[in-house]
Amino acid sequence: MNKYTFFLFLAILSVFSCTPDDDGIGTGFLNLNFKAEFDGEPLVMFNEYDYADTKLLFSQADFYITHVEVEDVSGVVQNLDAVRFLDFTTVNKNADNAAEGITYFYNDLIIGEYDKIRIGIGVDAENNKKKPADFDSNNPLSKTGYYWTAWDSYIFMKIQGQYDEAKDGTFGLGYLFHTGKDELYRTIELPGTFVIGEDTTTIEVGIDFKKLFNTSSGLFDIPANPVNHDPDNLGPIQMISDNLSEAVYMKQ
Amino acid sequence: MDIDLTGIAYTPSEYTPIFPASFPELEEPEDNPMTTDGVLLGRNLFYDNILSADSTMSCGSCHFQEFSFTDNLAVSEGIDAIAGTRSSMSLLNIGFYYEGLFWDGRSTTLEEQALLPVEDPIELHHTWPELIDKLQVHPSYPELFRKAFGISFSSEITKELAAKAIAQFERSIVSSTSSKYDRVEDGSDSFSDEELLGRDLFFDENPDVPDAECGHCHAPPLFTTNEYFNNGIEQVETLDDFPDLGRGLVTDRFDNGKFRVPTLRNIEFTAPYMHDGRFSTLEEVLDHYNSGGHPALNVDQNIRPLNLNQEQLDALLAFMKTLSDTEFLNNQIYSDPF
Repeated sequence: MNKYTFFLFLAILSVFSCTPDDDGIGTGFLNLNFKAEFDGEPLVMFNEYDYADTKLLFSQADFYITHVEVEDVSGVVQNLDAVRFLDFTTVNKNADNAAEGITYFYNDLIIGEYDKIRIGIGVDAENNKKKPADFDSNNPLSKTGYYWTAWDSYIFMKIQGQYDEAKDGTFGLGYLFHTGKDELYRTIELPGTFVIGEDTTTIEVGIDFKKLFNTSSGLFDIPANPVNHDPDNLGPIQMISDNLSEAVYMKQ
Repeated sequence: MDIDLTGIAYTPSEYTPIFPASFPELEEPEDNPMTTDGVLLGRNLFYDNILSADSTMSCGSCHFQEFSFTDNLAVSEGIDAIAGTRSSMSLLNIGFYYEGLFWDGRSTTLEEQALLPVEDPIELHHTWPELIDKLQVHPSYPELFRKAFGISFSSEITKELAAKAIAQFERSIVSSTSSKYDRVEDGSDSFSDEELLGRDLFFDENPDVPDAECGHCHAPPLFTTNEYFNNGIEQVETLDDFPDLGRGLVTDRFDNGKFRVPTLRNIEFTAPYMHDGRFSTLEEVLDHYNSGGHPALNVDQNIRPLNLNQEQLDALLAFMKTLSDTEFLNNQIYSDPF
């Protein structure tokens, strides 16, 4: 190898090097760890939780997230995920799993300082024009159980469980809230500084399901309206969607 | 005796089933693409009593085409006349079911599922080694396996290849486009007033009629979401009291009493109903759902008293009958070749 070839080799090597250069290009790693909670405690399916002067339990709590993004301090946005399905119904069946939550790993991110995470709760309008049959079975949007023909929309979030209306431990009242349609899609912006570097950064994102039931006059009266899955008759599901901005937070 | 099959041509040709445009893609495993000869071999095996220890039964003994591949029994019996505990499920569109097979979802693929009934003591009660021995010296199967999978010698016939062939045939069992529902969907037909009312009830489509909530679990185009639910048919004190744990046998006790949602396509031909065939008629099924069923910790919250009147129940039944596909029931490509 002559000296010209050698220097050419070094130049090529530097272009394809994985170490960050002054332009901030490099490989950074991030874990987003989503945790379902109820009043600050891990949300475990079928566990009893205090609610107003009685208790309730959850048998289902799951939802789509779309357009997950991180934004650095200079305003550069990176898309992390197009669509995911957070299935706390299946995962959160015991305290250990609930405490662990659901983690997604991202690589090839720009190394630097960040101050925002942005998460769409539900199915964005573009994807919401499609149907489950448009996707292969590995895609979260292939779930026919999360598409409602009458709405021409995906079901964004399902919250179901039982409520102890008699306050005697019998949990005799079932409740069901399904959100959907474009009007109930919410983009949540989570402010908070963090650094993405060559060592994996883990950010915890909490979803406090109790806060979804907040109203101006206290907790929502579930017995008064225990079933709502009709976006043309907005009630509890509008409340749940609007409360996402308070319920979803970056844990630091 | 190991038969040399290399003198038989192996020229696989792709098999492409035709089904309604609203269906998702039919996904085939990379190691078992559908071919004309693969489906043919599978169809032969499916209906061949050679699968059972005493040569009296086959898959087709519990899955009759005229009953949309069920057997019209509450629970099926095997070769020893021992009754099982669950009803034979319809195989219509089974190739699109990616969330588990059997009522409890214990098999994840058709290839895996096809292996089980042969050796099940209350079904075909055979052993795969004995069956393979028979297939390898059979007057016609070595050639069929050659044409389907390109094997060179009869000794290469294995249970895995047999299961693959059966899976290919099962994947080919798809709806035609001839049900009234599909004709309405493609614009070539229209519902009667009664069927329209039934449709509105089914899909909670009309604010002026009650919600029957059917579409939450029986969603189009397959009329099943392939999920697992407790639909309130069993009266229990706790989750541990279900006589059949169902999905809970595969996952955990919180899924006790849950079963896979069956398709409603051709439902009028697949009585009796539920995992144990407890309801003889669709009217009984509708009465159950209208009543709100039995509460349990894990019952789906769409199961609650519907307060439907008789006219509305009749309309639901009329709509469900628009899912009947008689062209499929009579299509010779799925029929017993023997």
